[in-house]
Amino acid sequence: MSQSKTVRGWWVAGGAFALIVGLVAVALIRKPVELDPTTPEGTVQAYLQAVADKDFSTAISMIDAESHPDCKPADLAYVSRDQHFTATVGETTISGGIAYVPVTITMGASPGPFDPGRSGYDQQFTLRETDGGWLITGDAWPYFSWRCDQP
Amino acid sequence: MSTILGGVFLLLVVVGIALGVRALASRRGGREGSGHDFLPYALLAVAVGITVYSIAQLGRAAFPGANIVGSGGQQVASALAGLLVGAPFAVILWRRQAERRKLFPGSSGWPLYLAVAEAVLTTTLVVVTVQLLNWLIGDGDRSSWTDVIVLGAVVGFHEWASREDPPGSEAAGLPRVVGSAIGLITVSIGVAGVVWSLLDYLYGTLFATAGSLDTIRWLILVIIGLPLWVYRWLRPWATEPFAPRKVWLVVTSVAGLATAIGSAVAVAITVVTYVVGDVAAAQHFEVLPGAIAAGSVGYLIWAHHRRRMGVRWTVMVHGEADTVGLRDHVVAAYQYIMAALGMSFAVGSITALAAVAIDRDIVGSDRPAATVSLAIVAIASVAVWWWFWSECQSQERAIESTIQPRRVYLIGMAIVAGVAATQALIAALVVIFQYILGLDPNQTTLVTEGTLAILATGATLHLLQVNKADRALHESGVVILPFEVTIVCSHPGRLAALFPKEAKTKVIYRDDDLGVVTDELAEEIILAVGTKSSIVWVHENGFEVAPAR
Repeated sequence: MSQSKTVRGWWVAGGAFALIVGLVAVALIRKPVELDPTTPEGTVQAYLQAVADKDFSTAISMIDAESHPDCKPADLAYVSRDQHFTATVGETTISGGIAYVPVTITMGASPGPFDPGRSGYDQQFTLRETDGGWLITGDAWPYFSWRCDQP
Repeated sequence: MSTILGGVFLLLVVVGIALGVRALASRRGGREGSGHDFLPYALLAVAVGITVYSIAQLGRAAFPGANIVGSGGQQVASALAGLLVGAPFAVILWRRQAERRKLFPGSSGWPLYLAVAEAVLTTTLVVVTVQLLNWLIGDGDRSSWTDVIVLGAVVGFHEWASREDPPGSEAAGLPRVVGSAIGLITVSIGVAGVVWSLLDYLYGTLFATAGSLDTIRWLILVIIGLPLWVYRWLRPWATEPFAPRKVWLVVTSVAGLATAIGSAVAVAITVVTYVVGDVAAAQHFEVLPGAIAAGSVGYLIWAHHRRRMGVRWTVMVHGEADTVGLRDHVVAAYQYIMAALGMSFAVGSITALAAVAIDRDIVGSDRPAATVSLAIVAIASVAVWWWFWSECQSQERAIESTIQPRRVYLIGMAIVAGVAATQALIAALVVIFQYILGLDPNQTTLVTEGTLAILATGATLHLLQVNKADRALHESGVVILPFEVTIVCSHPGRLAALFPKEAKTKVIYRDDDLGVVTDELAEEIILAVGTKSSIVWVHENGFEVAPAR
């Protein structure tokens, strides 16, 4: 191998290594954004953070009781066992007191580029405006309402 | 405890990988084996795949978008594990194979590896780029821009490597053909989508249906696919067409023409069935935008690729150079495949037509439309078969009877038609015996299977008869197989005109005046070459003849 090719090879290897170190550093240092909890996306963030922290009582308190009157923290806990996830939020749309918050949930590792280029599972949270805040309505991720009817 | 076990396991993995890498490195550059190295290239493909996947994971973990819950720790862990396993093997195998290629420049493994990389990585790059543009300028979901950068870099790296170390062997053109296919499919879907979208909008305006103008997502496909196709396909090809390029020319020409004809038939059926039916025009003609869009793209694909078939030779006629396109096996394969398609559809549609004609219960009120539709398909199929079969039959029979595509067509189609005829005959006889035994046979089955039996038997007999005539021509000894003569000379004189018509003559000019072919020399060369493919080198002392493949 010629001298120039060897040097070029070291530059490529060095560049790749620096890139990997840089990406790891950015990924580990980066913290979630902090949203205003009185906004729809802030409510969703607080709900998902409570699910991630296994604080199911807090999470259930953000669900509209009219949607699922029989749901208890234990029901949410049942479907949330051993779930590690990250979540990113899209653009919220609000119409007539109802907010739609698109969220991408990534369970564990990302599906990666060979899995049709998607970075996770797209979910949509629907929220109803209340006095001074928002409540999540409908069957929200991680879809536990079916459990609420169980004895 | 689990941390200690995890650390020990990690150490064992690192040591194992280091030993594996060392073992591979010690074998680098050996002369053993054929040099094709299919297994090492397969391992390299897996290692590169894991590495690329892991780096893309890191990119997603570092730039996930508006992250509201959790950090990228999980993804980083997954990516680092993948990198630890994949990257060392990818690097060492890459270097090892680079060394091996110096010893075996004609390795088939290298172009195959590049083709697999092109198929997986370029396809993925196209998908993630389309998704990114859909997100940025269309109405698509959020997409990861880091995937585009990572995959773009890896695809670019492979392109650079293939230019630094061009693949050899007959499979050399495969990576470019795969890239061309990815680009052509993308741009074809995009162009068809744009045309369909515009026509559908126009149709909606005219007939007040629900047409809407939505061309952005189709335009994005064109924007991504067109440069890729142009770069991969339209760049000059190094030498004569490689086998993969020839196969691709046949595939695209057949697919393009079949799509164009199919769309034209669909349009004809739509128009004619409107006349015999009682459906409102607005609903009835809704299929036209799609049919016209698909047909237009099919025609363009056919027109482009069909022109590139056939080897072009410089033929010297009475001392004048003339570059002409000659019919070769690629053109013949295309024509015989089209003839086979025409024959198959003709037999199938005429059989179905017979069933429609006899069956009143099943077809019901759609009977006129079904009859007209099948009649149009049958006419088009017979026309296609007749056109291409006539093209084949108009060639010099003695030469034509020797070529491989004709034999495959005659024998292959005879077997298929023969099997269909036998099956149909048995089914028809079952019905006849049911009649004899006083059972309640299905009349439609008898007509359908009887028609199929007659048509397929006719096709089989026709094919076997032609094949028999071909063989008789061979045995009579009048067949001169086509052969190619490459002449290296200063001036060929009348040489090319003296060869029999089965000869394809190619002249490579010397840069001096020491190799002029005189009339006497030409006659000697003709005798020396006979009817065998040869390379003739004319020099100051006469000429040399070497056999060629």
